[in-house]
Amino acid sequence: MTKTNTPAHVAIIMDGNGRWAQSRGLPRIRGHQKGVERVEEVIQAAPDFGIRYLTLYAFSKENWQRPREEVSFLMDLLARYLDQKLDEMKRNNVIFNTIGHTADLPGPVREKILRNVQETRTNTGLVVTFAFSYSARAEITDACRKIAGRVKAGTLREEDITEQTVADSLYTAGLPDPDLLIRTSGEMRISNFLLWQISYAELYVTDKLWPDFTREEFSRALESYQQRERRFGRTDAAPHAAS
Amino acid sequence: MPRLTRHLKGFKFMAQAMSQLGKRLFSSVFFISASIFAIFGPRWVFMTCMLILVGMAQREFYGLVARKGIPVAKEIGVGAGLLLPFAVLLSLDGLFLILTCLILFMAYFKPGRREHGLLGVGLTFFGVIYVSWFFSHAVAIRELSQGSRWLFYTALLVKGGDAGAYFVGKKFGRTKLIEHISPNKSVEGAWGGFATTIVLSLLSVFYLPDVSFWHRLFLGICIAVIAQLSDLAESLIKRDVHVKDSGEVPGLGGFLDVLDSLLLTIPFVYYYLTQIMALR
Repeated sequence: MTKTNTPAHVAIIMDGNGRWAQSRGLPRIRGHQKGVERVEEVIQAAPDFGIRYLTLYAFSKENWQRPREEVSFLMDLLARYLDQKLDEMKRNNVIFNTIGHTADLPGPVREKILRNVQETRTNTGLVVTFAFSYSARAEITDACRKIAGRVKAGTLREEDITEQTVADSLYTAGLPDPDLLIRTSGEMRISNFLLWQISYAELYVTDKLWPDFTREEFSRALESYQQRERRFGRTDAAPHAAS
Repeated sequence: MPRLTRHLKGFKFMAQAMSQLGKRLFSSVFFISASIFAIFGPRWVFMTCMLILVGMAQREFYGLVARKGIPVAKEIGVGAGLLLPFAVLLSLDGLFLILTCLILFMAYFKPGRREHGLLGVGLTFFGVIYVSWFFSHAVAIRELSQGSRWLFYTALLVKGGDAGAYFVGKKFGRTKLIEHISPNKSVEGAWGGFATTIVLSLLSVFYLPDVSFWHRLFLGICIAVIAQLSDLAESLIKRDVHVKDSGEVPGLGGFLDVLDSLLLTIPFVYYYLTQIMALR
């Protein structure tokens, strides 16, 4: 893989942990454990590939409807991950960030998230954003409320609402839009992830399940991205050229 | 005195046996180290080794067929066999086999060859399928997640089973297994191979940790059965043309003899991994 034309922001829908485990005759939680290893691997690989922002769909709002034991296992796994990886994130200059309704998470996990965000905020390297209890529709609805609130309070005029106003009211305010969206385990769905932000993202779907999404697979996705011609709705191959 | 001569005779026999075993060991060590390097090394090394094995084994196969007096289109068969691993890499093996069949028919359209059309086309094509296509599934296995390890697993189980059968059969072999096809095989040896393969499958947990006990047991049993049948299948071919070894690899017979028990096992493992375990 060459380092030219690498995507600055990569978002990943990490799908297939359960399927991975079940097909091997293992309990689903083994798949999640394996999935965490892959999360570490992509976080380590991303800066090597020239990526600045990595956004990972860890847990959707809909995922709360999974069996209770699985959800509580996932929360334990998350709590442990947040504890174990803090030092490594600090060492690797990673900025830890989250989007979604983190208020839905159990108290102790919430505190750990807050702590990790605080302790890595002065870092300058890769920005890793985890989506916890995330729903893109909820995000857009929240943005509408925020904007309506400002209009009502008189700090924003209706005619001044632009696309930028909306973008700045989303959880992802301040992050650039993803250039590449990767989904594992072959599903051709967006599943309520970053609906506003991915308007012009390139999509890459791989049959590999998330626990099999190794550094090599990641590199393959980036190679595919590099071979594409991004036009942003225009006809020429030079999107940034002045027209 | 007669006791001493008996001892001497015994020693001479031992020495002879040792040298045969020595050659076998030497060839085995060579094949094992080359295989490990090919399986875990860069793709081009693996593909090169594939081509050598497929090419030699298929030549031997056509050599066996020639003993039956059937004129096979050896060049087309071996040529197609050498290209097949690449077709598998591109998932185009189906199309490639159809084209091969077409080309074979065209070759037999020639006036002089017409008489042997059915047997010639059939056996040439069978050589491509039986040797190259079956074995080329190794390429597909290697491309799966942790594919190198799975290929190592398959080769270890099959070859380990062969070795287990050989040593157990040598020591405890009494009852003939299937004398009219392979006179040197014993029921005891077959059980030895069977047990070795299953134990090796269960032990795979050390390098393939994320597979349940039941998958390891079941796949082990399947491989144990298919590998031995695959071995016997090649013996049947050799028996039909009255030869003992398919070629000239010191101590191991021929390339086809080295591959025999793998030929039917490798495609089976590929489909087990992709269809039942949903590996990608």
